[in-house]
Formats: sequence, structure tokens, C-alpha cells
Amino acid sequence: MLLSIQSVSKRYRGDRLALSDFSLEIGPGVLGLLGPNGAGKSTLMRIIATVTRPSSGRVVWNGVEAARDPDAIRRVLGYLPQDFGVYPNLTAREFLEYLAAAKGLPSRVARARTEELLQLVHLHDAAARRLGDFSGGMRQRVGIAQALLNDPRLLIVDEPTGGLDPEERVRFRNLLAELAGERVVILSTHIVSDVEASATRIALIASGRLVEDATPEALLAAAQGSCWEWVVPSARFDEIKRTHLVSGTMRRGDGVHVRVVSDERPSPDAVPATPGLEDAYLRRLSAHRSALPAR
Amino acid sequence: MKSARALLEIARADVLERTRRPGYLIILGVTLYAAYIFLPPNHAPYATLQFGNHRGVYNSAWVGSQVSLLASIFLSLVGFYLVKNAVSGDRRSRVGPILAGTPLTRLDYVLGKALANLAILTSIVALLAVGAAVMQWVRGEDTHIAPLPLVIPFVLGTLPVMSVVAAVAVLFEVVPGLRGGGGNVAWFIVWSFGLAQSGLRGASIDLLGVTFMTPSMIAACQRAFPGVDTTQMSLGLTFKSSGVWNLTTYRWEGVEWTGAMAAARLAWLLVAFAICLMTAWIFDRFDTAEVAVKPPRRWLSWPRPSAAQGPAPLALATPRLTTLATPLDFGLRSMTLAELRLMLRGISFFWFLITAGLVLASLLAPLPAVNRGILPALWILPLLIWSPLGNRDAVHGVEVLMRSAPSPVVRPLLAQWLAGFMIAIAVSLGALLRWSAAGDLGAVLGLLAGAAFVPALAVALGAWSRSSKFFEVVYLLLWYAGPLNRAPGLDFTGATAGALATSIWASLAILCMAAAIVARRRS
Repeated sequence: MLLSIQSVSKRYRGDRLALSDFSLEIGPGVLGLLGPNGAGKSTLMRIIATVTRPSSGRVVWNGVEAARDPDAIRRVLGYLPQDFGVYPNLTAREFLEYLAAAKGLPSRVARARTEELLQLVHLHDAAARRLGDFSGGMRQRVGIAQALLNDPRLLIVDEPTGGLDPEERVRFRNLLAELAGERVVILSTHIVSDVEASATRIALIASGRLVEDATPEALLAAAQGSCWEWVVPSARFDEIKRTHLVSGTMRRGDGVHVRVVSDERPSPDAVPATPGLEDAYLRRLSAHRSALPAR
Repeated sequence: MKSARALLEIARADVLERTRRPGYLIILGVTLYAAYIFLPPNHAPYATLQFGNHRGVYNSAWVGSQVSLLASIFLSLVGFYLVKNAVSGDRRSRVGPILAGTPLTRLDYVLGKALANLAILTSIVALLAVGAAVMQWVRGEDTHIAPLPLVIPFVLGTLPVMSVVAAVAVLFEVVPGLRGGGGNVAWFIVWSFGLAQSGLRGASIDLLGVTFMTPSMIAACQRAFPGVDTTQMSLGLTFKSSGVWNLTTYRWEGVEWTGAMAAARLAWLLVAFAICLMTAWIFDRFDTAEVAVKPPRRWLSWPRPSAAQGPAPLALATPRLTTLATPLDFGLRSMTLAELRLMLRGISFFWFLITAGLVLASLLAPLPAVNRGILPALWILPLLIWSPLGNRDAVHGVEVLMRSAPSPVVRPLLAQWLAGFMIAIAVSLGALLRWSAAGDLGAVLGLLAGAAFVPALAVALGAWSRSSKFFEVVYLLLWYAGPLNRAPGLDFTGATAGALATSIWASLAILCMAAAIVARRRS
């Protein structure tokens, strides 16, 4: 199983470049696609899911080019878009059965699969309720269930944990890790903790370009020595925020405990700290922005 | 003051949002074409305003009055559908709940939306007035453009109508039963059986303003042609059964508007305001929690064992998902059944009861009664079942899920068409059996062609417009002219079909499906 993204670019109307010459090869496991808002993550997801056509470049699944035979990807694809709707008059069960028909599941299989997935996303008790009455988190779980209807080999989930409560969020991360062994899973998000929990590989995307493609361990190793903790008086805190890359703060009796990402010691008072993935992400993103030509 | 500013901001944002859509440019193009159509040359196959065989010379007074009257008639229907998306737009874009969290009053919101509707309709009327002036010059019967006689009929004739239409459109969006297709049908009934007829029949409530303009037109006609029968007035697109009209013309210098007449016309603005007050009183302020949660109708659902209720324990472990070994099936059967279930979901039990009753009646009643009454009635009943075809996924944001499934264009569209075809056949079952028994193969084939055409039209218009409204309006007009009033060549139920009509409806069905597929591939 191999998904190959080859020099993909996407230009929208008004000449806005959402993706620029993006290339990546993805095998089984969870790839965390991490990037700020507007980085081009959703555009890339939509292109891989064959919903949007690239302006140039190609997406190849197991040797078959998506533009030539999009159904080759669609047959094995599970896609949870960032923003999707539901038919409000259908129940969760009816909606899943409807989408199962669209995905080509025979009706007997569709019913059994729907029940299994309703159990999986903890919606079995609400399965007979109209989707119009569902909360945002419940609808998101219906979205997760529909993505798994056809037992996809390629699973694309775009900002999947939005609206989920902490329990469901943990369950979803566990589910992704569980599914990863036998499929290609792409988890697109700007929430670093989601990626931290389940990704075996991380691709950083910013301004439509691939900034970094590495394992979490490699990213963390690169950030060693670049993370500092520092206690500053409250009165200086605003100044510190302006002049340093602050990745965390905590107010205490002795002042504000700040966590700063910097390749150099920001102050003689600052002490080295063990970097987390969020620190590593901010460091790499900051380096990318510094390298961009000034506007 | 603060309130007035809020109201104007609501109207401004709404006007900007709706006039920046590409569809608005199309509307303006159609408006200019309407100005052209509304002033036919003297020897055209149709006329738009005449008394017997006479009409006024195309001077500014006549042109302004004629085009404004026609605008009042047609825009009170088309304009209503055009602007009936102000509140629903806020619901769909989820801006509504944000506004509901502000100090904005319900009346400000409703007035703002009505004002935006009026602004959009006014822009169309203004363009129509400009188009009328151009057409007066093009027709060349009197090339002197007199601004006031040309414009006043639009201001005192059409704009009061538009103010009422603008307010009623918001009212319909706020009343739960009138928001969707039901409201579209209801307004068509109000328009076709009430509004459009009111002025012509000399009714005391004359929203369109016909009775303000026609008496002096008639008087001028009688002066020019003494003894002429002016009771044969026609307003609208009147086609001559064969050949072209040959109307003789006379001069008419316009209505002498008095203060009382102007006040009577402008009083409709007060009516519009009163409608807004009522709308604000009804408006739920996007509080969907007030809507009662209905349990799903079990008789349309698969039977399921009831789940045990109770608080679930915290379960973070994930059960293993089984693998799916079954080969996938991309035939039409399962998709069509799924579409059929989706189409019939939420349909009232009484709809089924009435339909079943009429189908039974079509089996038992005399055949002429079936053809003239029962069958047309049966063909209007599924209107709101057909109208979401081709657009339901776009309207509800499910398109992105469908697009990532295999065969995302042709298979769902064909399945939707097939499900719509099955509905048409189901409602026509009585007539089909009767005609088959009578050996009337032509009628059977005609009905099958019509049954293929109507859902294909719905799929095509839905796919292109991404809304159910377009089909609802077009189908209502077609049904009103064809099955109900037997306009030549427009009855698609098979009751009056000839071989030519049958082949035309069947060909149109194929064309519509092709157009739908093109639309889907483009979007």
C-alpha cells in the first residue's frame, strides 16, 4: 500500500496558491499532517480524496493515478471532511445505511456494518434519533462512522476531533492507532496533541508547502536544547511575548512561568527544558517563516 | 437611531451577500430580456396589453405603464421566489444564531430582511424601467423619452407591489410550514388564483394597481375608436392561435395621478410594514430548541431492537473493527432503494392516504374524469418529493461525502431519477391500468415519457441551481399550463398525448439527464 503525492499544486480563483509543488510518499501507519490554519491541509486532503482536482501534479495510489481512475482510490477510501452536512430528517442509522449504499455495500452487509460502527462510536443508543437533533460532537461521530463503512485501506480524517468531548477524543485516538497497522491513515490537524498520541510520522505543512517530513522522535531530537523555562515578573510578560516564541505560560505566586522556544538561551535566568512535540512544531514553523522572503 | 442603524446594516449585508452571487447577474440579464419581451412589435405572434384589437402608441406613458403592470404581475411571482432566501440563508450559513446572540430585536431583523428584499426587487424594477426606455426608442413609434410619465408607473404601480412581496417572502420564511416547498406551492396558488386575477376582475383589493391605470387607457381607446368593445382586455403574454397580431394604435398620455391615488398606492407600504410586524411576532429568532423533537416514523424504518438505556461507563478501550470481506456492489438497485427511502422520509401519513385514495379513484371513476381531474391532481402531489432531486446533497452539505464515494456522478443521479420515475408511475398506476385495459397504447407511452421527463427535469434543474426552488417554480407553471389547463403540447401526463409529444418528452428526459451529469461534473 503506497500513496504517492507527486508535485501537487492547487491554484484557486484569484490566483491564490493553496498548495505548491507538494510531494510525499505515504505507506501504512498514521501520518500526522500538521500545520497552521490556512496552510493547505484541507486542500491536500480534498485532492487525495478525489473531491478536488489539483492544478498540476498527480496523486497515485498503488500505481494507479487518481486523475485517470478516481474510483480506484474511492473504492478503498474512507474520508472524514473537516466540514460536512447530514440529512436532518434521517436517523443516524438510516444515514449510515444510505451512505453505505453509495459506497457499494450490499444492503445486508450494510446493516450489519452500520450496527457495528454505531457501537464503535458509542451512538447505538441514539441510532434511532433524527440527525437534526444531534449535537456537534455526535454528528462528528457519525462522520467518523461513515468514513469506516467500507473498511477503507486509505483513511483520511481532516480535523477529526473538533467537537468531541475528552472521552471520545481519547477513544478516537486509540481507534486511529488500532486501525493504523493495516492501512494508510492521514490525520490532518492543527492540534498537536492529537498527532502526538497517534502519529508514527509527521508532515509539517505551511503556506502550501511541505516544511518537514520526519518521525516524531526526529522532530523532538532536532528541538533538543531549544526549549527553556523562565520565571518573569508579570510586568515584563507582555514584552517577553512580543520578543520571544512563547509556547506555554502559567501564573504562579513568584511570577509568570513561561516556556520559550529559542535556539539560544533567552536570558541568564532561563533553564533548559525537555521539548515536547508542540515546542518542536513551533520551532520548525518559526524557522520556516523566518526563511520566507519579507513582504 | 441605534435600531435604525442595525436595521440598515442587516439590509446592507444581505443585499451585498445576495447581489455578489453570480446568479444575480443572470437575473439582471433576464430582466433586460423581459423588457424586450414586454414590448412586442405590432405584428408579433403575441401581445402583452390590448383592448380588443387596439393598444396605445409606444410613447413613454404607455411604455412605462405597460411594462410596470407586467412587472407587477410577473415579479410578484418570480420575485417572491427570488428573494425568499434571506432568513434561510442565515440559517444555512449559521450566521442566524450569531445574530440571535446580539441585542438585535426581532423587528429590526425582519425589517432589515424585508428592506433587503425590497432593495433587490427595486434594482430589478429600475433596470426594467431603463430597459423600457431603450425599448421605446427601439420600437420607434414615439422616440421622445419623457422621464416622469415613464418612471411614475414603476414608482406608484410596481414598487408598492414589491414592498408587499418583500415582506410576505420574509413571513413565509419564518412560518415553519411555509419555509420550504410548501410555501412555494402556497404562494403559487395565491398568485395564480388570487393576485394575478384581482385587478383584471375589478376586485376592490387591487395590489397590482391595474384599476389605477386601465380606466384612462380604456377611455382613450373609446375616444379613438367610438363603439369599440373594451371589455376584452388582455394583460400578460397572449399568443394568437395562428398568425400574428395586427393591433391598431391610439394615443394615450398617461394617468393623471392625484394625491389620493398616490396615497392609495403608497398605503401598500403600510400593509407591508404590518406584515413585518406580524412576522417579527412569529419569528423564532433561530431558537430551534422550541421545535418539538419528533420521534422517527417507525413505519418507514427498519425494525430494530430497542437499546437498553442508562448511563454508560467510561470506556476508553476501542473494540476491534471487523474486516469487510464482501465484494462491493455498484449496481443501481441498492442506490435506488436508498434514494427512494430518502425521498419518502418525512412524508406525512396523510400524503400517502390522499395519494392512495386518488389512485383508487383513478381506478374506479369514469375515464374522462380521471384524465381531466384526478390524474392532474395526482401529478402535483409528488412535487415536493421530486424537487430535492439533484440538489439534496448540496443543500445539506452531504455532497463532499458523496463525492468521495465511487461513481459519484452518474450512479446517484440515475438512482435519483429512477426513484422519481417510480414515484410518477406509482401515482399514475390507476390511469396506466385503465389505459392498458382500454388498449390505449399511445396514452400509456405518453405517460411513461412524462414520468421519465418530470424527475429528469427535477434532477437537471436541481443539479444546475443546487436548490429545489427552481424546479418547484418551473414545474408549477408547467403543470398549471399543461395537465391542468391543457395548453397545447404541454400536457405531460399522457392524457392528451400524441406520438410527437411522447417522443419530445422522452427526448427532453434524456437531454435533462445529460445536462444534470454535465452540471455535476462541473461543480
